[in-house]
Amino acid sequence: MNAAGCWKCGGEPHDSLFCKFCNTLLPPATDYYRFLGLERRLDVDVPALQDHYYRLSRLVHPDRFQNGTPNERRFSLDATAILNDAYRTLRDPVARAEYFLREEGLEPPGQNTRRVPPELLEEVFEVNTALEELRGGGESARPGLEAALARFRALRGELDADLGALFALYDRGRERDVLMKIRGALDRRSFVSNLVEEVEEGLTAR
Amino acid sequence: MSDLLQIDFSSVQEPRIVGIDLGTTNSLVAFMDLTGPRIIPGPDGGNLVPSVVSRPASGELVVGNAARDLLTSVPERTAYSVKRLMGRGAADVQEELRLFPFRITSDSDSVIHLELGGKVFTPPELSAFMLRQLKQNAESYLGESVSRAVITVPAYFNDAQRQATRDAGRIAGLEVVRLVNEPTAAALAYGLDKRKQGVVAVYDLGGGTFDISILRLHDGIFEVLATNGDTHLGGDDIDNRLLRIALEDIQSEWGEDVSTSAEAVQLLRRAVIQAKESLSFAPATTLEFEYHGRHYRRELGRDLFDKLIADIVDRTLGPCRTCIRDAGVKVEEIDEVVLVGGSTRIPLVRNAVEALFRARPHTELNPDEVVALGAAIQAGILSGKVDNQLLLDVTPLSLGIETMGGGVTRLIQRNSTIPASATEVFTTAVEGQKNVLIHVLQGERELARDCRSLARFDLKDLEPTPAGMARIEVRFLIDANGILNVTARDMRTGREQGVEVKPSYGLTDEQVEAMIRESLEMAEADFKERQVREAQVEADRIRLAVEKAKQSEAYAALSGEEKQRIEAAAAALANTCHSGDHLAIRAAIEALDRATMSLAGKMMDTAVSAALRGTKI
Amino acid sequence: MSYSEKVLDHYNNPRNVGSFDKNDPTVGTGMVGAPECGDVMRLQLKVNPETGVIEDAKFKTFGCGSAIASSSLATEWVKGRTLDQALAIKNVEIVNELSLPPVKIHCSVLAEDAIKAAINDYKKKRDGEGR
Repeated sequence: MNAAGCWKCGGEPHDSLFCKFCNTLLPPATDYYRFLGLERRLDVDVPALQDHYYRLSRLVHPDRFQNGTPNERRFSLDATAILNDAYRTLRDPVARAEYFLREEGLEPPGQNTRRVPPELLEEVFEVNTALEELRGGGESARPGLEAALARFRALRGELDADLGALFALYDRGRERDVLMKIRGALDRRSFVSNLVEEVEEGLTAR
Repeated sequence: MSDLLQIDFSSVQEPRIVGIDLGTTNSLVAFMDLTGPRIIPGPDGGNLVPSVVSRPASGELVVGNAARDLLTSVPERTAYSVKRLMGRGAADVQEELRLFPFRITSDSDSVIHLELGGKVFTPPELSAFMLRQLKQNAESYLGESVSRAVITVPAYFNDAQRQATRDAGRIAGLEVVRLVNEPTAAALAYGLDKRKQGVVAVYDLGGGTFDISILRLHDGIFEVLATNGDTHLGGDDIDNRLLRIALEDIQSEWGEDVSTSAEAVQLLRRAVIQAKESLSFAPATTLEFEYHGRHYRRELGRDLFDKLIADIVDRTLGPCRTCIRDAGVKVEEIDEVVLVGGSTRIPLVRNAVEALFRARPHTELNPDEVVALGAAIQAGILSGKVDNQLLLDVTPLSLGIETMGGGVTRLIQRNSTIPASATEVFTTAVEGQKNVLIHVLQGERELARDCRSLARFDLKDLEPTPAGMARIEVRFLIDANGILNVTARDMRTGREQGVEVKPSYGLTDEQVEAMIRESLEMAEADFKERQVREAQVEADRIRLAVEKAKQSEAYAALSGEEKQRIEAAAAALANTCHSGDHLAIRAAIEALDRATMSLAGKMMDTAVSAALRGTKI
Repeated sequence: MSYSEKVLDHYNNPRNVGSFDKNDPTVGTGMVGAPECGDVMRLQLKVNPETGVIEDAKFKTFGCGSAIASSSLATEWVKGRTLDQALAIKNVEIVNELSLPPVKIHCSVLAEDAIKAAINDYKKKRDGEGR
């Protein structure tokens, strides 16, 4: 990034938000890890990331450059947009893994539909029927849905734990087939997570 | 001594930024003084300027309290609740238009036009009259010119509604430095950062809009986690409900439908608002209405009132639940709840909020003023006066583009912290294609027709290439105002690609420019008229004084030539007085003043010696 | 640019919504789901055991308009076909018939998979019975 050096003082190029020579805001890097100055790992310390995010926000936010030069104002807007996008992506394990896969040239799960285990499907179908009943005013469907929600949440918790273990495994060895496994786990988790949300929504909607 | 009195000139250089709450019912302007944010009162001493604009028969424009008084006498020339029309198309507001007395001329789908006394205005122009009034109030209070402002908007305002608000500012001659979400501004004003860490919910039910925002506080950072709301839900809906019921009741009692009379409707509206307001404090009230000598009287208890409005209050709870879920917090984790907006004075609303959040809500600050105070603080942040606080707000609605077949591809999810961006690569479908049209939408639905059309962006003058060979990278950036900016780049040449914007609901840049020009011309006309009137007043004053002086001893002692000069000057002034040329009037005043100079001197002498003698002239 | 008329028609007036008794030996049930959008589809076929012709079909789909339209169309198409003819139905045919946009192609895949799963289920039942 900043291959041409500092736009203001001409200082030599380096990887930083601000020119290390004249402290001027520079055009931001677009890679999330580089932007945040983080090591490229799947396992991220989220509380530390949050602190880092708040600190950087105070430095680059457009509010701080209201009276700045047009260049600074533009870079501040760009930098804050990337900062926000980066934080939003990296704080969430799933979004982070999807971003990581994409950066590694692996399309995250999506279009290439994978089968969902049939034993889960049966239940999903029942849950959907119950949700429809509840929407139609059939309050008797509620207890069953609440039980199903608890089961799905637990399952999501298990999948999250699996994902966490896979992250650590990848960070140790950087093996590509671990990434493939992560992709599979994401696929399953996405289905369960959608289910949890759907049931939650159904139970809270009036 | 000199050390103590040193003046800090660094802050003098940047023009002051005021904070403005442009409300559905009332508007306010505030500023930061050394002790904190303060509301600037109007000339009448009141903090609230009613958001009403009227054009009474004389053709002049009246704003605020004076305009509100005209609601009943010239309802068809008086516009209120204009905020509900901002950034909307005529088709969107059919339902409520029936309750508005003023006429909507629907010659355009994309922008509403209101007719007031034979002249047509768009909602941003009417809002600009409000803003100009607030600007003037600030200028006369602060004794300096004011040209920069932070303006608040409902958090759930979409892009078009935000653009319309910014356009209103521009038309009023204000640089809108930032649009701030109302609930977020309120959180700032509450000084909740004293609590170093925590989660706060802001429930904002105003005259026409409802917002709910959930924030995380962290050492002066106000990070909005999620927001939700309804830009068509507020005290107006309660008023309209009561109004409709009262109208029916009156019809059955009098056997007469008074709803056809705009005057009667406005009188009754005022009565139901009064009843509503008193029910916030008293358990029962009387709704009284008098029209053409007939009286209508109804006892209204709070129980019945609560029943009548229960479903309106209920409509705020769904967005609250969604917001809590989107924020990823549990109800128990919400430490404080803040109430904003006049409608939160209603006990039923307070109870509903308390029941949902299981916490007694904050009501220490005046719910009408808290948003303007927060806007002033944000103005302080932007001008560098306040440096320990920072707002991190979110976009309320997802942003997407229409795909082939009417679907929507989501680019930026709702509740993303702004500024937020997304890039997408576009290509051409046929050989030699010269432009690509991108339809941008806002909303959460799956089909384009169910989302709010925001604008069509036309990538123009593409280099001719075989089909699918063009690579245009388009960047969608939602800025800190929550407004979308689109830029495009040809990836093969690296060149900036031209983008033409066609807003779906709103004014084009050219239209806004024209309105600014027109408003400047109008402001000039207003100014000229004022100068003439002031000169006339001055002329009347001096002519009267001269007439009086003619009775004095001193006048009698003047030479005939001198008397003649005074008569001539007085006659000249009387002639020019109605010329409409304030400079000529001023010149004539000066001439008369000069002609009476020695007379005035002699009268002064007489007065002094009379005073010494202890007698009156 | 709008959703094709046919999608809207099938979405608003879905054909053959409902269910058969899944324990009926002449009924094959196919249950499939798409993880990315949470769509689930159940497609059931009633087969004449003598002729091997699909006499009736029912579906129930929870999901987006395209998924509902795809399964609705699938039930119309399989009726009157033999099992082998039904197996030959390809998702592209559904895409073309309904003019599905690229982002909705997976819905047609789901419908094709549901037919296959239902036929498999029927065959499993039949062969199990014969044993």
